[in-house]
Amino acid sequence: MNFFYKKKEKLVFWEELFYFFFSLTTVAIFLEIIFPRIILAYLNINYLILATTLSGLYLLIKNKSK
Amino acid sequence: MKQKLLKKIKSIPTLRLFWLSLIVIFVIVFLTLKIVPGGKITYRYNYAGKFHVGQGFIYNFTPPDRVVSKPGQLPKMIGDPLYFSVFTPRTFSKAKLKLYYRRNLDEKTPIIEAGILADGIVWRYDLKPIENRLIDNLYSSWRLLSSEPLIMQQDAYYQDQESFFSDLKAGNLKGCQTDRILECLAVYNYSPDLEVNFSFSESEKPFQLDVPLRGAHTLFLYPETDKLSFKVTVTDLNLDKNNDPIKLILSQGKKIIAQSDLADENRAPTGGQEEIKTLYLEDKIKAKELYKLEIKISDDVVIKKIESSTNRLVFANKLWPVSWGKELRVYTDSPYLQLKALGPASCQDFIFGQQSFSLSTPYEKQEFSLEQENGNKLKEIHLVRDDVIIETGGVFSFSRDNFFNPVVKKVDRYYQLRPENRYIIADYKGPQVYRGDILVNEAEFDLQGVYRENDKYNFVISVPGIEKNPANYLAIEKIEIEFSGRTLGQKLFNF
Repeated sequence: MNFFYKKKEKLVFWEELFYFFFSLTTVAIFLEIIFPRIILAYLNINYLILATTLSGLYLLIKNKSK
Repeated sequence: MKQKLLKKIKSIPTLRLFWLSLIVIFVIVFLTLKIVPGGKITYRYNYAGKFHVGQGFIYNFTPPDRVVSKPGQLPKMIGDPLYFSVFTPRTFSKAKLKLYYRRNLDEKTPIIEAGILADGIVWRYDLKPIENRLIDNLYSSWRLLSSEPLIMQQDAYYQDQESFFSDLKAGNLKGCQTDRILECLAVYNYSPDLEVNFSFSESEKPFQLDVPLRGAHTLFLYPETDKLSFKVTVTDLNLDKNNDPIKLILSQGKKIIAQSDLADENRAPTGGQEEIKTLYLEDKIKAKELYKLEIKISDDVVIKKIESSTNRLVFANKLWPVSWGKELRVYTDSPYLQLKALGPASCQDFIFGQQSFSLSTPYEKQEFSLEQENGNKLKEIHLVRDDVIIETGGVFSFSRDNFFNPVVKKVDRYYQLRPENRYIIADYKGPQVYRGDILVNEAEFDLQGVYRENDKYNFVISVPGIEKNPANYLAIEKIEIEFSGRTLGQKLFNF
């Protein structure tokens, strides 16, 4: 039972992590459109897109195996 | 309603609340970086660093053929000048540029300067010193009178700065001949406040110049009457679609006396549709005083005719005669010239100071120095073709009889120390050793009114003559620019 909860908690964490990266990328792109270069000067948005894709892929694989 | 909201918030997992607050912090941080509420921010680019998280604020160096960039090595400047632009999310009023560099420059390349594009129409850069090895070398052998501004004297003529400046203003410095103060003095990044008098063999007459001159030109005037009238007839070539406003600015020292403007009303010119425009400037002035007149136009505009109430005028630093089609004779007292032919048809053999030279390569600035330097004697430049940019550190005149040179000698790379040169005044501080052979120095720029395009300020690094020796280079380790301006509080409550 405890093991089942831990597994579910882990999946929730990955879900939230994906939502976080996705929201952060969307906000970053939105800010970049309004104020050009303000994000890109400090942070390459490609890293955020990569993190979103990787966390999303991991989540998809996990959901499929469940 | 409130309870419903609280219930809704409680139902959100803690983890989600955590990342939502992270996003809010992210937005606040970036908005702060955009607004710069404190009014001060530093942007830097470390070329020695291997990993860069963002694109940074400092753009790449241009043109690419003037810099050697190899992975794992510092970029090496090998051509002059080298441009770079800096993106800023808002405007600022001051910039302090710090340049960390290593140099491998021969003795003919003693100057390193940094500048900002101050005027987008005439493409003028406001240059400030980074290193002047001519002054640094004289520092130990000459006597220092003051360090701000730097005043160096060959002998102990003065003990205090005040008496030096009062004598300078009166044009009567110790160790100098009374009427030859300009030969006694050399400056660098400094405009001295001094009154000079010139005498001419002929009386003053009205003047008309029919030689077409392309682009911006600066003149020095020394009228002998108290009224000045100036008429400039220009042709806007409309070879490009940019606006070509025309400005005449009459100034004395740093003070603008009179100004005349003409906006470019034809905002959609068709290619090659020429327009003839005339601009007047009239003002009451003080006779026998030196004035500067700037004709501010872009390179798309040609000065067809200049009509002036005085013939006591000389052109400063640059002349660009075009479409004249006849031989051209101009006069200068400078021992060197820089010529650029604007096409193969402009290449020619020409005479400068009775010596023959060949301007052989088009589109490239070539230097010509007189082998036997005959002091400040007037030299004739005899060109057979036009569309050539002629530059020097001094002045040009179209008339031998009305030649005068009000320019104080500059401690630039052409500077030659003469026995009559007793004083050097400079607004300059030498570079400091940062680490090993890496030097650092800073230059401060006033950003008010400077040219800004696409939220970028345009900077330049200049090492005149660097390309003359293939072994010369300037390796740039880091560029750091501290921008300062109004704070958010000042913007909101004090505008």
